Amino acid sequence: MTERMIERYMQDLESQLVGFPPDRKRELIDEVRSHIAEARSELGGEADVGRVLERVGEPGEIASEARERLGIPIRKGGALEIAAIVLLLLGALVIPIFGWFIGVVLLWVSTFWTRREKMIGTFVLPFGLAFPLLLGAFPSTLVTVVSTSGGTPQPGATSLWVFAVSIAGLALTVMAPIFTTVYLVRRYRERNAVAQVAQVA
Amino acid sequence: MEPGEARTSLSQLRRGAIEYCVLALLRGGEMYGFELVKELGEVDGMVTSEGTIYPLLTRLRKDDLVTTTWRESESGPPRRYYSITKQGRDALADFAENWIRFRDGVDRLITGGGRR
Repeated sequence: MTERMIERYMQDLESQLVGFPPDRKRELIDEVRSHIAEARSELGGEADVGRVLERVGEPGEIASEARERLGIPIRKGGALEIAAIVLLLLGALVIPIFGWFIGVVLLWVSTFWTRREKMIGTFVLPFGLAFPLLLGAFPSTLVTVVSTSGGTPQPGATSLWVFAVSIAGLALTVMAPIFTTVYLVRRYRERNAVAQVAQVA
Repeated sequence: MEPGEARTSLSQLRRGAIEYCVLALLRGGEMYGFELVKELGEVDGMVTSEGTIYPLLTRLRKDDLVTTTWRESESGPPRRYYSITKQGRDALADFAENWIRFRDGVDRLITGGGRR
């Protein structure tokens, strides 16, 4: 439970350090992690991790101090990020395969996204909405194969069940890219709001 | 001036002074991050969030005002010890001179100097 609190804190910190050079980011994260470990061991078994994390400070505060001291600008999301989101979802529909790949490149080239967001953007689902379209051919072929392969054609329950499962699978492959898009859009808006505030300050 | 505003001026002061407070602590010998935070924390209001010391230390390192060495520790992973450099001592001496003059001046005005 306490380990989870710490992990969540560290993840929060990491996501606030977007745009940092990787070695600086790694260094700061390691230092904060050791600090937390050191504070806990000093307090011994009774360590109230919540209090320790409170004393260490808000990840946002540490990140903005780091930006100020080290001169690292906070990057606002813009056309690059929006283009990536759109192309990831719809790119392959417009230019088969390649359209999606451009989206992936834009995603990874940007310094706006965290590694986690880039991974989700890439792998859930590759080719975006074009993926289920490729798969759309499946249910009917699947049904045909199953119902004629066993030797005796078995219409009815079995093939119907397989059909239902493949429809469900199809629905999932439509929902997955939409989920990713919603996820990225939310992160985009959230982080842009933070960037807005930080730039004014 | 609103009380809230006064607090921001205090944090400005703190931000300006804290690097020299760190250097001053290191004058006495090398220390590692956690130690530094503890010592600073003894001074009322100096440390708001402990984590913010690490960017500061990185900055001091970049400016060659401190150097670091890794040392083994009995109780766990190796620790990074910070020590002050020659430039660090010079910068500190410089600041100390200005600070004392400034502090005395502000003191005089605030504690009822004003018009003579």
